[in-house]
Amino acid sequence: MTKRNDAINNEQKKSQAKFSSPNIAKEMKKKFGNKTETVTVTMKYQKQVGAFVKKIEKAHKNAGKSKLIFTSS
Amino acid sequence: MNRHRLVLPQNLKVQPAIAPFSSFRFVEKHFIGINSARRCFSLARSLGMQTITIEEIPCRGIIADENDEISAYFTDYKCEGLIRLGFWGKSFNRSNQMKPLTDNDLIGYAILKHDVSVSANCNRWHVFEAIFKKYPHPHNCIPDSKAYKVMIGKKHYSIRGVLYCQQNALNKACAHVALRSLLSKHLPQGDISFRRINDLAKIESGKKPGDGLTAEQIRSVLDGCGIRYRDIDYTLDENLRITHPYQKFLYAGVESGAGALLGFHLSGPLVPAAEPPRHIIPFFGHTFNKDTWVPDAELS
Repeated sequence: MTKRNDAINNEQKKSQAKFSSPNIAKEMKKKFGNKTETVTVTMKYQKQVGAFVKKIEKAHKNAGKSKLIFTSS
Repeated sequence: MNRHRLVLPQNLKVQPAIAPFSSFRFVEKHFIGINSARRCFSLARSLGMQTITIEEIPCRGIIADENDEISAYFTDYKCEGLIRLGFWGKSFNRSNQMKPLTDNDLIGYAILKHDVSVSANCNRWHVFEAIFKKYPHPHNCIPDSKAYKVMIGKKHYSIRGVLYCQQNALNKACAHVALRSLLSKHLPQGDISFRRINDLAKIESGKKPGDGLTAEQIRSVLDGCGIRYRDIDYTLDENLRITHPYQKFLYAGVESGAGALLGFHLSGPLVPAAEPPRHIIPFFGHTFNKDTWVPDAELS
């Protein structure tokens, strides 16, 4: 494995760690142990998804300043 | 938190709901013709309603709590009536024939409340809450609906569905009822009182909760309940309508089973154009059916 692949794998592990639950990981480890193999998946749309999610986070933060009021029947 | 719907009735009447029974006349006679009650009867009829049970029930739990809260804003307030309607798919004529009834026979129930306050110019019924089964059509879906327990007669029944609540313009507006509908599904205690919603929203002194909630107050309620959410105000960035259209954003909430809230401003001849009022409603599921009269009316 090249250094570049290692770097990509490490990066993916880091980004996956942000979205996965440690409890699920523990349960998976209990159930499957070392039976599973690591499969490397190329994150084709990582950039696009990241940009999409970032925009939602920004919009959410901005909506904290919203002055809308909901009153009507 | 279930106390208000698990109370024993003070009395119970059985009303056969097959012809010549008229839902329209019944609602007109008992509930001063409120449209939300008509909608309950319409749903029940489409689900095969055969019999209705009518119970007068005492105010307990979050309903008693609501009465106290309204009295603090309107000192002449009185709750003049509280009725629990049970809608059944089985035919029977007397209360002593209810023993064999099961959860499967229960189509839905509604608790209707009569609020009276001269100072608030209020003398009307509203649906405090109602739950109906989803109709068994393959083209609609409510991910992760919840089972609620209700007492009818002397027996507990369980009904799976979503909680509908109606505003009364006294201690709750559209935002309150939308929040309770969604939160009742997710909170470990199974429900939330309107007083608790108002406490979390931190209603400013001099204002009344019936005047509505701001987006900021809605966020405070969700934060106070420990609910994780994402909020978008399209009026702050019009570009978001293109990159993050509301229907896609809502779909994530609906499909995950979490639900969603959608706010919009009203339009029409009776709405002031300069400052149209805003309404907010909860979303729980989706359908591909043209199951309202609007699409048919527009086509004809």
